[in-house]
Amino acid sequence: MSVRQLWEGSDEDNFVRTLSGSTKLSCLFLFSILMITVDNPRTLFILFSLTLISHVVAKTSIYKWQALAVLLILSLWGSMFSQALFYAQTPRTPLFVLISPTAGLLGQITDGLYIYREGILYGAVQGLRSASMMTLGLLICWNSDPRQLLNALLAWKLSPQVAFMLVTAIRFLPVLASETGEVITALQLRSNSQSGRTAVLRHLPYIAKPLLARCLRRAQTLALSVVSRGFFLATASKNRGLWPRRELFACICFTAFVVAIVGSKFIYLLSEQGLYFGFFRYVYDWTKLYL
Amino acid sequence: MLKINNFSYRYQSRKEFTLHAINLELASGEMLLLAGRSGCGKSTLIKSISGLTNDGEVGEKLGEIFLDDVKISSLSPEKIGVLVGTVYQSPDDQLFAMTVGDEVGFALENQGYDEAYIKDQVKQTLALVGLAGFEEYSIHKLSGGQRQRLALAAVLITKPSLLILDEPVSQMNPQGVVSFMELLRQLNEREGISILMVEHRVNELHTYFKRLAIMSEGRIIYDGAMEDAWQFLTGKTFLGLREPENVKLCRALNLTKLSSETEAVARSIQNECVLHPFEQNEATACVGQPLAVVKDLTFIYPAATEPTLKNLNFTINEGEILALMGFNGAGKSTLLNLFGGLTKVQKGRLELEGSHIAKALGKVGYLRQEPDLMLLADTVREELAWKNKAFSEANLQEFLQLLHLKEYANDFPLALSKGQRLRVVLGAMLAKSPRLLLLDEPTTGQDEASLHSIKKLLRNYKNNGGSVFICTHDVELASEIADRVLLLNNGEVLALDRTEKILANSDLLVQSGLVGSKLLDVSARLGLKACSTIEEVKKYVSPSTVGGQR
Amino acid sequence: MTKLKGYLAIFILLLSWLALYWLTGSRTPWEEFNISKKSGELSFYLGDIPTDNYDRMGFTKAIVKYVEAEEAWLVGTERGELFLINNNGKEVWKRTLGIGKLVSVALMKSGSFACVGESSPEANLYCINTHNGDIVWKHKGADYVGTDPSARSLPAIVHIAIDSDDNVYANAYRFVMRKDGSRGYCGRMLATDKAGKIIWRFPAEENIDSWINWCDVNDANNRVVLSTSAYEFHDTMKYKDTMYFVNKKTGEPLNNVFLPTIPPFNNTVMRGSPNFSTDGKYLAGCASDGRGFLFNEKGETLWWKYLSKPTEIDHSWINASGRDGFVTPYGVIFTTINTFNRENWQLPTPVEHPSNNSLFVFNTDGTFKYQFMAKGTVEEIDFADKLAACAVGRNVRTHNYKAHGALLLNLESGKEIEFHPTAGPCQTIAISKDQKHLAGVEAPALTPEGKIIGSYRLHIWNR
Repeated sequence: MSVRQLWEGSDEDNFVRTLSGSTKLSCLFLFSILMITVDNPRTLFILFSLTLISHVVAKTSIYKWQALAVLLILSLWGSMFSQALFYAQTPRTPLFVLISPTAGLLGQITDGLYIYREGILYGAVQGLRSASMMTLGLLICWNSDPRQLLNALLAWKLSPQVAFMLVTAIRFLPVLASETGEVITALQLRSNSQSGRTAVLRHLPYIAKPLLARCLRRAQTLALSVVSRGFFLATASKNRGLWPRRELFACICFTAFVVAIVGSKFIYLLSEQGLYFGFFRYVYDWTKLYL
Repeated sequence: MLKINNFSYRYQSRKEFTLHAINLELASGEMLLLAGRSGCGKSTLIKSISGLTNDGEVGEKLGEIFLDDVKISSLSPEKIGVLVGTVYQSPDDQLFAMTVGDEVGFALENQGYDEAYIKDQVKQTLALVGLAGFEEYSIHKLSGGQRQRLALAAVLITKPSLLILDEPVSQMNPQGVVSFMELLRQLNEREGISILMVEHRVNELHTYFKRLAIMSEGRIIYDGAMEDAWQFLTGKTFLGLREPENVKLCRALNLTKLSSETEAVARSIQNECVLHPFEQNEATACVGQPLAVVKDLTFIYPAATEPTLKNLNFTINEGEILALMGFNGAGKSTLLNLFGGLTKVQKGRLELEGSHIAKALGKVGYLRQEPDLMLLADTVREELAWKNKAFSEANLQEFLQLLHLKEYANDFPLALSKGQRLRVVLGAMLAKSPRLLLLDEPTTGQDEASLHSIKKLLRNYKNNGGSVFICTHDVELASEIADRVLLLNNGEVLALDRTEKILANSDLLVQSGLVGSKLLDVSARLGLKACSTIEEVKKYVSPSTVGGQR
Repeated sequence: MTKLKGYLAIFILLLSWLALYWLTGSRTPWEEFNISKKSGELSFYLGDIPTDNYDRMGFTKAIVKYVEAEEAWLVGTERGELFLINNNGKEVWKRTLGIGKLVSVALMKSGSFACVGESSPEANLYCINTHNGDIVWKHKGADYVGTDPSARSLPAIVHIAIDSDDNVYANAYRFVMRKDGSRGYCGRMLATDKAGKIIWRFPAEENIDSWINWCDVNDANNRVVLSTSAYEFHDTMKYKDTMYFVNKKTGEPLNNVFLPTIPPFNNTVMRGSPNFSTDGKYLAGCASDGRGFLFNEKGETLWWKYLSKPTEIDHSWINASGRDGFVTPYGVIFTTINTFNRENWQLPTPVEHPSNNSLFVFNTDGTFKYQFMAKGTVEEIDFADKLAACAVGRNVRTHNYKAHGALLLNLESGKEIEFHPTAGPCQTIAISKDQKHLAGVEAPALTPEGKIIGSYRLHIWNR
């Protein structure tokens, strides 16, 4: 499977693909609020697991799973390791000593380097947040017709120009990925040393320019093509407002759920600031335990 | 159908008009080929016809464009979109949906038609472009040619009376071009759709169009019958159009009448020239030392069941240009990647100057299909000297001269014309003095003038002892520059011989998905030995003294 | 190879998922680092606070009381947060009370309400519903003793006592460092009824120009006593006596008691006492000069004892200050704290005073029963019948960090029953009346060696 194919939408007939753009974007938006609101590591873990399960349900191909795995591993462990090393809050419990404060010059400069237990958990929380959003974002990216998303954005009265720009980014993701591969190859080929043909990292800063130039051209062509096919016609918006009733109902329920979560968190935070009301005690309990 | 009346247009950001007093008419059911170099104003003209200069982009307009006698300025781009369907150069850039059916139905959906009607229309339109039954296909699963057809279907569904195609075949191989053009011809004949195609590959398309318009610097400088255009083009090489080989032959033989038709050319030669149908001594090519040796080379991709390359054996000699030709998917790119070090040799030997290719990569220059993606620096000067410490200022000046880029030395490479961009990349490759230069379809979308420069550069490089391994579909190019041709079919060597031998063999060409030179027909008609280049024909035919120098 | 790498990535993702499962969910309520459980003990993290220097005066505090009705611990922190945490370590409720430190607490008879005092620019006295954390009423101490945050002169409700009618008696106090370097004090006692209505103020129209750190109330003799503990005496000071007795119903002053000083001290102060016996006949007071007193209800001295006698060694006077005084059915109890140098509290002393960090127990007739010496200062004592729970904190002389913890003493025998060590100094303690549960708060400290020991945690020991 090529890099390009990796970023192409799936043509598998799964339920995620058949959902309307509004449903997908609503879910993504609500889920992101949920991820920001929730601080409880286990709840975050459950939400993260849900996003993974959604990929299973959507029958994400094994190649895409592999790519997803690499991205998730990097984001999760990257976050955990960095926080484990540089966690600054207290209490913090060193699990391992990487560099002892007494270990020569390095020890003196760094004042010791430790892996902090609390840092790992803090990093895991941050990592779970970004990993969940990445997982869900990719699910939608891999299972959505750019048209669907554009329709949804326009139905929500977003400026057509802005909506088009947003969706074009998704539309060109496969092309961009394949061209990035091409540019890296080109850079390797133009390198002056033999080793340069495999030294990709050294060349990364040069990738942007040719890609950007081509993207601009492509976006212009796409815009022309879409405009001339009447995308911004008044009649086109007729169908956009259509949101399947079941999905709409599900989204309303999900919204209510998220509002409840945010509300209870808000009430809890107010209590932390002194605005405490005894009859909310169970809300406080619930928030403390699960959010 | 379409009437352009003294139309001029100036972009707000520019001082000069891009289009100057254009007058053009297109009758219902007519096919017109609009040719011209890039930057001549073709794209602006298409935008103007599509109504995309009406609003949004503010510019100065003079004159008027009429569609079915209605002023375009009074219509919205969407309305015009129903009347005029536009297909752009790269299908990848204009497709928007995930499945074929959705993509085709997109325009009708926007017009608010109900689902059943759209479904029915999609079915009919797909059948029209030869994609019947592809409704549920992912657009990503289509081949390049199929995508172009899909892009066509996506605009055809609104049943436009005018179809505008902007260089739709510039990225296609010769067989793809034939098949796509046949489709257009059918649409024109059966559906009565007027077609305006913008393209500079006149050599391949002239047979499909009776009328040609030529644009230069924002003006229509020729508008008339295709066959009359050759006369007009005499001495106008600056227009960059690729003429049919027959026309070139006529010019080379100083024939009184320039024609692209085999019969007419043959008749003129018989009437005006002296034929020497006796056997000429076969020129023996001066063979250099083997530079690269391929022995028992086999390659299989990890997930594949069958090898892409099977037991290849051949050599590339010093000072030789070897053309690699064959069907798409024959393994040509894989072979080049092995030479270029992008893919590791699995089985067999691939040596350059006696050492394994992996240890000799510094001696190989590799120009891939999309030269734009190889442009990395901010100026042409920097680009040529990129990662090349041995490249002195004197070398730079010499190269700029050779590449005709002296006045562009400090320009941003990506802002140059297509031909210039290719020359910059090629120059950067040659600046490193590689022993072997690998080229993958270097001439795609290049106009005649640019092609001429490239040929000159390669010959020059070859004469200095360099070797070139060039992968191309362009039979004309191969016949002009290659010493030998290697035909690859299904991962195996189908034939490897001197260029004139291979390209004169129509059977081999057909087996390799290539379209033979028209000169083969001319030479056959004249009863000459099969000739694939003008130079070869000239060995048997003395130029006419009637027509004068052209 | 690429295929293998891909599957490897999925496998590592699976492992990561399992690792995250473990990391995020070892214990409900999933805050592994906030709660930890060992057998019979669990600890609850109370939040991040600045770590004080180990040898510092005025060390980190916390308040803790066992609320029988809720079977849970009412815990107040320096972060201004009030928790109700049950014996399983579950947070029943938590609320933030303004921006100050919570420094004093007392439960009403029913246990349904608690009064909490804070040290803040406002010095609020809160009455809290222990069931849900609601504020029932509050009074602003700053309205009585003033406030000057710019000079870091913050008022505080330093001590609260509650009688059997649930009337509340609270000491509001503010310390002032004047520009000339001399010290000034503003103190006042407030008395409210159960509903928070002010019954009286003492003094009615002015502030006490002395440090009032302690008070006690007794239902049997209807008296309220408050002690003074001013370090500096001035001729102009009005309230120079050691104890003031007030009618608990009217706030009328009854009598004052001045305790004569003993060399080398200039004055006699009481900071953690006196306390009445339940029957109101006795009053136990412990002076910072190292003397333990037993008074009658009017404050007349029945007897007094040297707990720690100031001793001159190498030209410096060393002593162990007395602090708490209680009259229990098992004896009259006095405590002493760390050895200190008369010249300056933080100056080193050559030796530990033999009476420091001790509990001295006497019979009411003045006969000596026993002395129990802890390894660190007994910061607080709480009683459950014959058991005394002691919070053992710092020993600033020996820096014995193993001394910290909760100590359970049998008052009858004077023997240690249990000791539960904590990493940081144990700063406060409480024990349930049924003696089954014990809770203490440990504070983090920065040792002179530059190491941080302990953290701000509540420990619950279930017996």
